[in-house]
Amino acid sequence: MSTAPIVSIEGLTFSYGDLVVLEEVNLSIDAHDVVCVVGPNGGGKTTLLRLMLGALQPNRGTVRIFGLPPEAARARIGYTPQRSQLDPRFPIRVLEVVLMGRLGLARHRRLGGARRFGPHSRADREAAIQALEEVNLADRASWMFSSLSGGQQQRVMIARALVSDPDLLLFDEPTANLDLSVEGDFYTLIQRLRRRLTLVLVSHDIGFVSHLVNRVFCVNRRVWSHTTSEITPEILTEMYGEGHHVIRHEHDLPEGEPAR
Amino acid sequence: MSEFLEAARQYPFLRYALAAGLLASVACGIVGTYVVVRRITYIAASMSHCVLGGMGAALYLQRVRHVPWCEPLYGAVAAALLAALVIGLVSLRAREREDTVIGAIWAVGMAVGVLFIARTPGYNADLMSYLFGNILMVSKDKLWLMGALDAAIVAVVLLFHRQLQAICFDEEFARLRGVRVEAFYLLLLVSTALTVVLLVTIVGIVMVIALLTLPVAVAGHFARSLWQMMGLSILLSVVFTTAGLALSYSPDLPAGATIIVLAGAVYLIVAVAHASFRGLRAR
Repeated sequence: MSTAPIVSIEGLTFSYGDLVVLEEVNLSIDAHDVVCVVGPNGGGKTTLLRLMLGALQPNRGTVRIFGLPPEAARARIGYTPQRSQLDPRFPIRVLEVVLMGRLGLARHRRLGGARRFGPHSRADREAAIQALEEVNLADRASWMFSSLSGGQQQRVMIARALVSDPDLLLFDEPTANLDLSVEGDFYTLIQRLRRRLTLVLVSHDIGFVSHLVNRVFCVNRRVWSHTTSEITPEILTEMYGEGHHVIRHEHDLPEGEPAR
Repeated sequence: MSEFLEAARQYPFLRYALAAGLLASVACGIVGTYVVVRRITYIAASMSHCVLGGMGAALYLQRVRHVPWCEPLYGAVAAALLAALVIGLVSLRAREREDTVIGAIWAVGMAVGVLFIARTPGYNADLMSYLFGNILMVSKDKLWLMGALDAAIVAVVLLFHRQLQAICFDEEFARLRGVRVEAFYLLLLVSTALTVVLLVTIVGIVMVIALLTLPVAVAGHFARSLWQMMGLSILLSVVFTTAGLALSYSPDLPAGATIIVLAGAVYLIVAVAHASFRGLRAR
């Protein structure tokens, strides 16, 4: 397992109806990689993430996570969605949000003490508190989720993803809504996490995470790969810009080459 | 008020009505909470109107076709469950516009009911009591049925609250964690359908949606978790149904309408108080 890629995508094409969103995508992600997925809005970043989660099915090609179809690998994947998808007034406590990460685990028998039906178990609760400690929010466990700041809510979502002890963590826009004071916390958190798992960050803000990342995927209908050494300040500047900058990358790598 | 208490001691039908209010409140507070936070009040309203189709058909079979066991209540259960399944499957499978289907079920259900009732002799009184409820007509049998429905809903919530909470809060995440989102969504719709039928006997088809959502809306200003929201909603609907019944007794007002007006007034007061309190704090 140490040599097999964590994520491998081959010959993938995906479209919503007639609209082709991703075309001929080949990529692979190795264990303990920290990957940043960048690209213009509507370029297919989130779609790529949802394909990795098994929430969408490709029209052509295959997605394998730990060598398995995404649905079969779900118990080992952690996921943090964009916070804007949630109802900000939902009456729920922080601990309950984190406990959601333990749902469905009993079926996979991977984590001891996770309970499938009825109220959560003591083991569920302890794991949730531990995950909150990891993001420095254990003292907020009984607070209402809606009373937290945007950055704190983001960290709760991270704790929810960590509580199932994943081997692969997928972040959708982790740095959106983070204020400057917590960006440093986020940075150290990523530093800590990369030692034990593989991270995929979808971001329009690669400048922020570039020191942490060792691989960058540019997504705009197709996917181009760069190792961090290739990422010069010029490329960085270009990545903030529009899609046509990304198309220029086509000359850096031959078309269709697996993005490795 | 003392007149009402005296009457309640004297007449069993009033005690049945009070018991019906208590029993309906349990289901109402629990399911109403999910309905409000999952934002499917429109679906619940569609189901409650569609129920008329089932009630009308059952009444027609019973009175005209002489099928004695075919109580309107059974027709109501069948229609509500059918509506729940159709709406559930449409929103999960077909790419049909969900709100169009919900609206169609709403209106077609009512139309079917009106047609059947028109073909049934003595329809006017029945139609009025279906539309606007008649809590004073609740029989002992019906109380048992309501109790059984309550027990079923409480069992579902005790077993599956975490899954239901997860699909209400963040459906996509729940799916990723292996929760069978479609199955639990259907379970939620079926529970909603059964609760709607329960409430129809209290306040009638037209006002179900108010009794389902107003207590939850009031509770939403104070609750810090879904459990609290449910508990508070149950308490509030007990207060609304009991007080509505008591207030309507002496002046001989329709009980269902009194209950709803009371609930609406409390909601308005709480919402305005909350807004002005926040306004004061912001200053």
